[in-house]
Amino acid sequence: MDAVPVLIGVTLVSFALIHLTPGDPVRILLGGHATPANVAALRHTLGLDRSLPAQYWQFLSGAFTGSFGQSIEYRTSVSSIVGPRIGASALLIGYALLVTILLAVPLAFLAALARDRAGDHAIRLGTTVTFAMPSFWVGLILSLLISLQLGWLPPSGYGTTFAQHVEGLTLPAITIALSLSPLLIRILRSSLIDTLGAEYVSAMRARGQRERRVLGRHVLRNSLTSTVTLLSLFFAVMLSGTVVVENVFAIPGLGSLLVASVSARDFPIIQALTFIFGVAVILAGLLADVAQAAIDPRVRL
Amino acid sequence: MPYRRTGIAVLTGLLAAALLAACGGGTKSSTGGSTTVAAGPPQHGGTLTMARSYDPQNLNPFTCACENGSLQVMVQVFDTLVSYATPDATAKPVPDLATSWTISPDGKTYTFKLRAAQFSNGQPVTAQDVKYSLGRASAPTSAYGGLYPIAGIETPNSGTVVLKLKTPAPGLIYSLGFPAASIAPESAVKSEGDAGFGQHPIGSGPFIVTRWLHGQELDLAPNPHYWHTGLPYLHSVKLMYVPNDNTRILDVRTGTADVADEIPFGQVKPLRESGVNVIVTPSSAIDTVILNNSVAPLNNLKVRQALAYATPVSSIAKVAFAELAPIMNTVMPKLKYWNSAVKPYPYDLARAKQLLASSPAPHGFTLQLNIVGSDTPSKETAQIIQAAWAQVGVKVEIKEYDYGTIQSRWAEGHYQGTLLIPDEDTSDLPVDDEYAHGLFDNYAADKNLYSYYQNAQAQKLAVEALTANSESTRSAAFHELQEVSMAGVPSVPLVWAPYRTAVRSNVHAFNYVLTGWFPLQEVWVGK
Repeated sequence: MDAVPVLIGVTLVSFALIHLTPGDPVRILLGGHATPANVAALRHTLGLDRSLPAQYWQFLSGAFTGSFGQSIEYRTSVSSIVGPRIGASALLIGYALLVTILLAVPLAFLAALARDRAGDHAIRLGTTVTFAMPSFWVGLILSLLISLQLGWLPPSGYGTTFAQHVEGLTLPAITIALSLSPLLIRILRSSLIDTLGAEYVSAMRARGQRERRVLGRHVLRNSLTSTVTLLSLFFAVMLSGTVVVENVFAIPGLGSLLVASVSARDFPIIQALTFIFGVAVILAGLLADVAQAAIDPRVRL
Repeated sequence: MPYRRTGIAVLTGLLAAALLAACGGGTKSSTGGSTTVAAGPPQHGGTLTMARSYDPQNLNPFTCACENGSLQVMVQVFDTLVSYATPDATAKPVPDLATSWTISPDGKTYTFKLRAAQFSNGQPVTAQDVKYSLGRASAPTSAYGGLYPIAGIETPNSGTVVLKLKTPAPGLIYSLGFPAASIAPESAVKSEGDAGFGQHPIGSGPFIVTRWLHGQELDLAPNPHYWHTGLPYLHSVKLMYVPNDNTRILDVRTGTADVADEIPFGQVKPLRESGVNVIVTPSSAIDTVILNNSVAPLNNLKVRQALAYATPVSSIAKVAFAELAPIMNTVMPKLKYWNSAVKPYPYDLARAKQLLASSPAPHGFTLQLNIVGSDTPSKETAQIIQAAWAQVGVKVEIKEYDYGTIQSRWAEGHYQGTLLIPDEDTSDLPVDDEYAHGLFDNYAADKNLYSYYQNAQAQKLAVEALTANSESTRSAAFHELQEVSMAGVPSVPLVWAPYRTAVRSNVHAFNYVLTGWFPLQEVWVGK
């Protein structure tokens, strides 16, 4: 298990970075008019006047028991701020992954089967264009089109029921999917082309196997192994993608909280989030290994 | 001081303005105005949904940072002894939890008669609760203690509270309308603890908090025990946190929200042209080039005056603020004692060159200007200043930072010039006391708001105005202070940035007060 040293490394680097950055959370919190005496008093109350190693140790020992201390900005426990937001981000990432796969797999197949013909060129051009568009831009265009012109979905909001969550997350999920699927389409396409050229595929076709079975069962499955690894790497990209997309669509997830906490230098929340993100990325890697073993019998865990 | 915080700047305002205008189509008539006009008799019921750029943090009046996001909720939940009349540019103190008050002739004793009111948990509001609350607000450890120079609080009977002062402080009656002086039930604060009370506030105001999802929304419902029978009109209020400027605009255009705050300056006109009413109301903010008066050559009066003459403020007001922000003629917020007779510095490059030539920096100098990189008006302002000052030999290096870095460099004196976000530097009070003290009479504590500017005459006038027991002396001292400080030019004054709020036509009586919040008890929504 190399997860623990990785996690400690992640927290150590983030702790060092945030404390090296100029900016005092108490000053930001109290604003320009607070006297130095007020600032000193609050720093003491919040424990910010202790040595950095002592602060780090308190965070680290707390983190492994699930306690992340008190938020500087909200003046309440970090877990009560972070906890309710995990669901929104998890749902957003899951939804975005689903849309990415639903978009990428058929298009990659179309492109691979129509290799170097018009369909392939169109898909490659389209993916290049969407890949080049920043996600906040895509998000705004989608909002203008679908929310304002067509009135199908709200431009922001997360709601309180599952149905409202899904409604609110649809545009953000499509936004993330549009920025991620080009890569996936490209890689899956070339992987599919390689597999389609393999001798066993020609052999199966020669034996008169139905094309559907050849493609679905053999070609796709053999091409997926590299894609699954890629998806786990995508997960980390998606986590950072949520930062922008959650801001645009006002989704109360971890990404928008991270932005706000960095602006406010809310150290305990930033540390808790980097810890959670670290755990999530490690888990995603683990999940990819398991999925790969399930797809490919040659892979042993 | 309340402040706002920008998230990541994900879009340039102009780009989005063009897009929104393009999608708006049509050329409906402009419906600009400064307030929403009540149409017909108010109706009870309905929900007001507001897309706000703020996420409230801590609603405990005694421990809050009292940033706009929380203040705007606290004024709905809590009562103060007095509140400010709205809509009214002078923000006169009017009875709230106090029905009347008297101030002794020596200006040192304030006697308040309390209203028979109840907190939202049904407990009566007692003189003891007022004593407890104001005691906490005026404690030396309170971040806003400086606004409340109260030496003693007495409660001769359950309906009367007497405040004793050491010296007259005519600004106090205004400070008592600021939410740091909210009246809270002593027993609830003590049983919940400060942290808990900040999450579950109980007050005697028109609304109660029914749901609070951090980072998403805060919902209000009428307080069944509110003393003003018949108010509030609204059945519920949803304050949504929508950090992205363009998303807030789309929310109000699609009807997802009824009100959206902090409309970017450049988008007010396109939005009005698309048929959305945008109210533009005066604020207590100042937007100035804050100068570090302790570093050479900025410690020289002629140099600072030259910079003021070399600043094309009207271009800045036009380009960065879409001609919505009045040009400052003083270095202070435009509040009750504003002196309209003070002359602003005209844009006069010849005069600026002449002043510089006889200064210790006759051949110009290099100045680092710190700005918040994500803020569009700051960037535009800085670029105009850079081009203009270059013409008198002052080379401006624009340094873009995030808000936290800007603020710590400012507060540590590690800067030459700095721009804060336009509506960041705001007075908590509708009177000039806070800034007169902060800019000219607080050197020992914070170097006069980190300007390192010292001026004995300005300091004397500030003290005189803050402690004068006669309204005419007070007013004269404030007026002279504005003349004196404009001549001394500790910072280069730019504009007073107003609040810009998009309000759908079904919303009535929605108004901002000068100090950055909007009372909702008289707001109603039509069909």
